[in-house]
Amino acid sequence: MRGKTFYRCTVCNDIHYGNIAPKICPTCSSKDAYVHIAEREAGVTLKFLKIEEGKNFNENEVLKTFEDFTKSKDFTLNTDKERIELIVQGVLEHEEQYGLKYCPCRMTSGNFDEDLSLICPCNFKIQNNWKEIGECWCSLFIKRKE
Amino acid sequence: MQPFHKTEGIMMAEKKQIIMFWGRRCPHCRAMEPIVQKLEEEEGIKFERLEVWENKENADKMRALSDIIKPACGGYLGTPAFHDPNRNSALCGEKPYETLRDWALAKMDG
Repeated sequence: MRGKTFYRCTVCNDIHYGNIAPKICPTCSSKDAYVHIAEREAGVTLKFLKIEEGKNFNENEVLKTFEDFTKSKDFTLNTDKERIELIVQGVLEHEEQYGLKYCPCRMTSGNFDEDLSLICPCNFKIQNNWKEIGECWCSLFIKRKE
Repeated sequence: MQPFHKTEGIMMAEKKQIIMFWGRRCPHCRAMEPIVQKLEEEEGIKFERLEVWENKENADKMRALSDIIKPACGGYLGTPAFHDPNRNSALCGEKPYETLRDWALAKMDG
């Protein structure tokens, strides 16, 4: 048990503060879509923290949140450790610079609300890449083999 | 027919120029680099590499091409994104050598 902490719905970016992540998002009704996030990501997403405020997760903590996010899902983390490491470094660099873990394989538009869809993990199941090859755009999350 | 121009009195074939928007922590961009280098060596295509996360000017150049790049990248400004300024055409993501070569060498009406 982590104690009270922040969770983000990867589909609609709803933020929850509590002991566990909601099974069903009360905003968009998505199932099992929440990921554990740092206070800073919660604060910047909801615009109550400035980019320079709050505390980020470190590399291991982010990796742990990604691993936890894949539990009991139809996708898992890519087995290419080098690729995962590069992506984790990328999202952390972006969080340091912009306050949010923007995808390292897509560029921001400059519109804050539109760019919320680029926070990793994103709602990748709506992407063509997922539908066509079973991977998120970065290939961080890949479809489990049957 | 390749366009020609005079350089120091010698007729030279103009090198085809492609812009490559890439991100320093993007694994697809890293995977494409040897393919891009091979194309430069074997086909004489010149790739102008523009990193978009570290360089604001490059990011703005990419954003200015949103109408062309987003449809090629599934609705986002994905990296790597290749842009042919002559045809105003874009290709996006990690692609095999042959796919990038055929797209890069395609003519105006191709």
